Amino acid sequence: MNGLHHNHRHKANKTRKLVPPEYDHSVIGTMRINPKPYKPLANKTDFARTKYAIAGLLYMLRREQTIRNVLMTTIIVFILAVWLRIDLVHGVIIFLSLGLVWTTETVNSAVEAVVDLVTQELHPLAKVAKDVAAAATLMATVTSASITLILMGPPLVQKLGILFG
Amino acid sequence: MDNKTDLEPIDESILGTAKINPDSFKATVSNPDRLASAKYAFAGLIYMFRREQSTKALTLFTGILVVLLVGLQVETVPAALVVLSIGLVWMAEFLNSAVEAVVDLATDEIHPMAKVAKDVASAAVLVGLVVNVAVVLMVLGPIVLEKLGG
Repeated sequence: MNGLHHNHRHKANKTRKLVPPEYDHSVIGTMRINPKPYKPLANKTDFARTKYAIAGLLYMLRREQTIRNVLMTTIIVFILAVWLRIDLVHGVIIFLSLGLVWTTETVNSAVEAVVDLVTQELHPLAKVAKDVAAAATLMATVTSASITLILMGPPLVQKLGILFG
Repeated sequence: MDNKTDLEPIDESILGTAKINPDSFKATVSNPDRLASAKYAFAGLIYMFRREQSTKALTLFTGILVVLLVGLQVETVPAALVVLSIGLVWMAEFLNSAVEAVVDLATDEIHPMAKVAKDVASAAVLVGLVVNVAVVLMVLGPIVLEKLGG
């Protein structure tokens, strides 16, 4: 026994029959895999997929403190960008970097959910998955913070100098 | 851990997902301490540096890029674009490793969906790298050519 129990997951038992003996390791081998037999729900329309995306966003805003902090940061950066009359290109780059943080935070929560779905044990790989996903958000935050500082720092210092100097 | 068998039916509405409380499905209680959360992120970072060869290569690549950006006195906007695109690669790389860990956690069978998850996650790294290389070539290419020509 490897410590991973799927007994309560009927889907896992059902799909076991579909498992072929080994992978096709060629570069087009992955493309040959049809994911449909392994999904509990049939493929949805584009409209339904958008609905799930908004549902996921609402979940994030309600359940994750981090995404609310990111939202606050985004609003503050937006107000600062307008107040400091940041150059359009600079503004676009700053918001691109914030987009990186939004994406990573959301994918991080998705990874956390999958880990909790797979096991409720304190498995070392569960820790690796969650910590490494958190490290991804750290990298995105560091990237975004350094870009925002580089592009917004000098005009902010200048503006404050005019106000208080 | 088999107390999950009697799950409530899933609310398919747009608000249904937000009604789900993740705390009841976690092995450990959710940590409200922000500092502790940052600690886990650093733990993941250290894990990556120790265990993933690709992260070491990426660090070297990032170091070379930073030296080039500073050495060639690249302007702020192009430099920021290069930093942003390398950040994309770091992010994809880390999420790829996280997905790999989840897959290995979920099953040690040779399952087609395990292959799909791992291959698609590493395809994300590939896409990030292609974007990064394109940005670096567009930003640094002309400058390097000018230096060589002059």
